[in-house]
Amino acid sequence: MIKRRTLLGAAAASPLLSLPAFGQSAGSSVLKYVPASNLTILDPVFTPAAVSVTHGYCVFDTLYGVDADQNPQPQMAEGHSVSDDGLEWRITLRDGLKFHDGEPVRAQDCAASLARWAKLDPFGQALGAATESFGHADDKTIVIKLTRPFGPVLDAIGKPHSRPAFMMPERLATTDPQTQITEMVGSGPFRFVADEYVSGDRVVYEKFADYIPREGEAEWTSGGKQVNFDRLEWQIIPDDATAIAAIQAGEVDWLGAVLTDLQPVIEASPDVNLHRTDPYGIMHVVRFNHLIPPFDNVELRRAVLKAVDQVPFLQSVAANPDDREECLALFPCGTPGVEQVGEGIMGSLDVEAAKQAVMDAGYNNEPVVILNPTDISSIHPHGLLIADLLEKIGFNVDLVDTDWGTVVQRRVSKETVENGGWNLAATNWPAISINNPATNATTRGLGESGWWGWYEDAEMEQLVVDWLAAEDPDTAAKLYLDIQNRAIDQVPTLPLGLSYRSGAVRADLQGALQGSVDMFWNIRRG
Amino acid sequence: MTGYILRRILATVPVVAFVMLFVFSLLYITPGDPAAILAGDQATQAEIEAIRTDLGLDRSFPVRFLEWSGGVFRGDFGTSIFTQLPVSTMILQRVEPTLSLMIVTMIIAITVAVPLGVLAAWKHGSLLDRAIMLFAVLGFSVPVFVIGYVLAWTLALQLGLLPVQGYTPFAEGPWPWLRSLLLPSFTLATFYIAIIARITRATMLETLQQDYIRTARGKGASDFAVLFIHALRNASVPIVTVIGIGITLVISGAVVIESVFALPGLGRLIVDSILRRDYPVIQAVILLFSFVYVIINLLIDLSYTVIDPRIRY
Repeated sequence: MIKRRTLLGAAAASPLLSLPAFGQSAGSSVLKYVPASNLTILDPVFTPAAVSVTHGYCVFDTLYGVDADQNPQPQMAEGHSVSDDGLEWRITLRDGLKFHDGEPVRAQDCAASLARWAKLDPFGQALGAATESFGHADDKTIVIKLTRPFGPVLDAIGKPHSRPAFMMPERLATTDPQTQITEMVGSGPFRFVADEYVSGDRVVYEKFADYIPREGEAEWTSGGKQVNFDRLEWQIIPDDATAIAAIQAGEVDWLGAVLTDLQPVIEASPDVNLHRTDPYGIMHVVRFNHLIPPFDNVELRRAVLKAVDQVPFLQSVAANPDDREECLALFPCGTPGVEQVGEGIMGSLDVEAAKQAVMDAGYNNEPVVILNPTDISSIHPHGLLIADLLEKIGFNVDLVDTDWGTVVQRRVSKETVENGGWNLAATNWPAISINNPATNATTRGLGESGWWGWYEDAEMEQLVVDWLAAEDPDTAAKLYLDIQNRAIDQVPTLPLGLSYRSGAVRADLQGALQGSVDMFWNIRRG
Repeated sequence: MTGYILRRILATVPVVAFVMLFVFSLLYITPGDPAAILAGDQATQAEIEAIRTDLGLDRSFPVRFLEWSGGVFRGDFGTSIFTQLPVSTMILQRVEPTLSLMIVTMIIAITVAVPLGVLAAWKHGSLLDRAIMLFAVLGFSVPVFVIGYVLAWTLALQLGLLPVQGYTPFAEGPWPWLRSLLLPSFTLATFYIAIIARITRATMLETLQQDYIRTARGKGASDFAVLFIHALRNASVPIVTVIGIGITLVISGAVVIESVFALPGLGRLIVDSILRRDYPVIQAVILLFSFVYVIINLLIDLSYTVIDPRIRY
């Protein structure tokens, strides 16, 4: 102890050690950002990971963006026209668009980008299924020929999250969809500096001098993307407490996420402000495996749904009441068109009644395997809570605590539990990525070709097809409500409510936008 | 001596070969599918299968092992499943921070611990001796990440003397480099100071009882000469052994320290790679670590013959 004090004293006395922290010396034209997780996959169409989407918006641009109300707005597009029969869409590009390698952005590049995206993204796949071709009339005009009416064309190609339709040069966009693109050449507001990229440590971007922002205010992924920094540096800091200390010390400017437990530290700091980027939040769910007993039985799923009280689930991931919201629906509350159709159905809290319902539904005391990743703080408590709930209402629970890597492998097993299968697993989705019938994998009834859990429901799929084809808003709205009701009736997934995550921004920065991910235009120092 | 060195070097070959087979087998049977992780939450079974095929994960164990080991002998460790970067590039990017951490930590540990151990032995039973041993017990007992947070809070946040996190390459200047390493190295060194100081004290106590020490004192040698010239050299074999083992242990300590202080080293690389089942990276880093262990053990053995000429092979 004596020696440590001596050491600290010596350190404090040293004039050399009193120099300012080196992290502060980079200059005001550098914006330093700490993403919530490491950027490992650069291709933002290959993966739906939020960090790759964030990176994608730096490097790439989209034909259409969305405003705060999720309405599509032209971004790279000047505008569009639709044929009288609704089967041919022509999208015109703005003048002067360039890729980072100096080549002009052509309609051919965009058509190839749309074609690749339509093979990977669920909304894109729905559009692709109704599309004869993604082509071009000339260098500035993209032509989408449909085989049947498809109402939300612009919603699909302007979707803001989980594989947005980013535009790439044709030579990259023709890459096999199952192969990652690693050459980062886009037409977005920042140029990726490949030489300085060290996965797990840092990602560097430079302002793209030839980027031409749209006119108007920036809002979500639309409007004028004005970049006010010459350089954007991402630094990966795996330890949350260290990241907090780094922003307090002024070594970084912006944290993508602050753990709920650490938010009071930021609130007490005069130099740093909390910033909630995504006002729609994260939707927490528990997925049933529909292929094997007992949850191939809809009555059992309904019995569990009836017993679920979302409050403890939400409290376990969001300490502050402002950071959580009950949502009695399988679509994210707060997004356009969503209603709490589960009111009066969910959350009875009547354990005895639920026990009786489970027995009445014909439960045979089969073991119920719950996959629970202990290394994901936003999911782990939900595994524990659902196990506790199921035990209380009479299920024979086998809670499998393991790591995320094992969970994602076992989750795709279609075997019985004796042979390595599973019955329940919790996860979460950015609300904005499941805010319509086409993209909401938790409710789609595609069976074995769909999302893990393999819920099959022909009636649901027909409703989705009808919704996609609906050309007038009233019909679409009615169909959307029917889909919501169908979902809460069939319970393909248990909804656990919404939580909201905040990041942190240094107080001398102004103009941080809202969106489904952090965006680096509009923000400025001072 | 030359024959001994050659024999020892040749003995490392089967060790490394066994490690290669063991590591590859272990990862082959470990649950966790990189294709499923790579595909993400929305992926369908067909997409995962397509990625698995694309990555060659559907091929048999012997085929994959032969391909990998053949690549290793050619100096090709493959490509990261996730980043699509050559594994050798990823390792080269990470070697410098870990090596720097290792060097600075051990320099701090040795320069602090050996004099402390000698001092404790010299003042055996005194208040100073007990204080040094108390420090050693604390160094053992308190987890490094706790020490790390305390030092970061004190030296970086409250006093603003050192950066909280991050690494500055040596190429950007020795002082910025050292500055970025002081906090993590001090933190990690506390454990090694404790262990080296205790061993130094114990072996010095034993050595100080020897006849030749009494003779040296009788001939009028100063305390400094007795302690550091006569006794310390003869007490050095166990101390060097502990230091050598300590260097290898720094690698495991680096896993925690690199995460706490955001150093982009091999420790973080292997943790990240294990979590996402990036097999080629895991295999290469473990192989590298094994090689380092083998080399350090070899150097320890060789150092014995230099320190104590009575040791002959």
